[in-house]
Amino acid sequence: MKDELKALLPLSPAALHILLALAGEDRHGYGIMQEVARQSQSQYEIGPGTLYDNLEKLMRRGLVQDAPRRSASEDPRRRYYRLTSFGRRVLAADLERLRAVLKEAKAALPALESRSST
Amino acid sequence: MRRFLYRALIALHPRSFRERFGEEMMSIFDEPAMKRDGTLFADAFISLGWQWLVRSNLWKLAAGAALSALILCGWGYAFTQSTSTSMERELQIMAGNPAYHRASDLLDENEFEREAAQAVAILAQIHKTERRNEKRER
Repeated sequence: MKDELKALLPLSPAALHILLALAGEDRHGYGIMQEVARQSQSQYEIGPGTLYDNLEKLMRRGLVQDAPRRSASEDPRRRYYRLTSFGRRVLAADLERLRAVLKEAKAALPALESRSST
Repeated sequence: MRRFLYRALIALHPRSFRERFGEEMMSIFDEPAMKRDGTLFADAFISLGWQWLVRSNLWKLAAGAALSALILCGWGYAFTQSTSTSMERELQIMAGNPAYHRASDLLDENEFEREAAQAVAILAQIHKTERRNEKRER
């Protein structure tokens, strides 16, 4: 199982943002797009093509699954998506990897700054 | 018009993807806050290429076709090169260019007869010597 998890890492930026958007609650496609833009302060935005291309891949790998519709009054074309427990573990593992990268970057930053100032 | 174009782009996606996500993509396109600018169409184009080439494994077919075409081109080039060389040679021989000869032209008939006569004479001499030796032994 651990190998299966490792094989999925590192996640692509789009996949990482989609999983992060679904970490808090079930969302439909447009909701995921809005949440990705909010989380990145609009620095990273994904279009519907990129979103569904990645969603298809994530669903095929068992990281995301369909979720029940919230209300009947909504646009019937909308479908909701949910993070699976496996998806949650993969996300946690990738965040841990990023944390280690960030730690290294912080340690290297003073050296980089002094080099760039000379 | 833009809606029609976007729907057409979705329709060009592989069937499984289109049936699964096509209507949702249209619902996002219809969102009032959605910017229907070039980036949205560029995104659909990228998704289209990605779906056909990578996700549908069509790239394997494309790579196979490219490799086959390369091999065929190489073989065709080698074949035309060898054909044109031999054709050029025949044309030069027909034109009487002394630099080109047929293999049979390389044999001079008189010279051949002379060489053959010498070989026969040598063989006859050997035979004669052998017979003389045999007589002496007796």
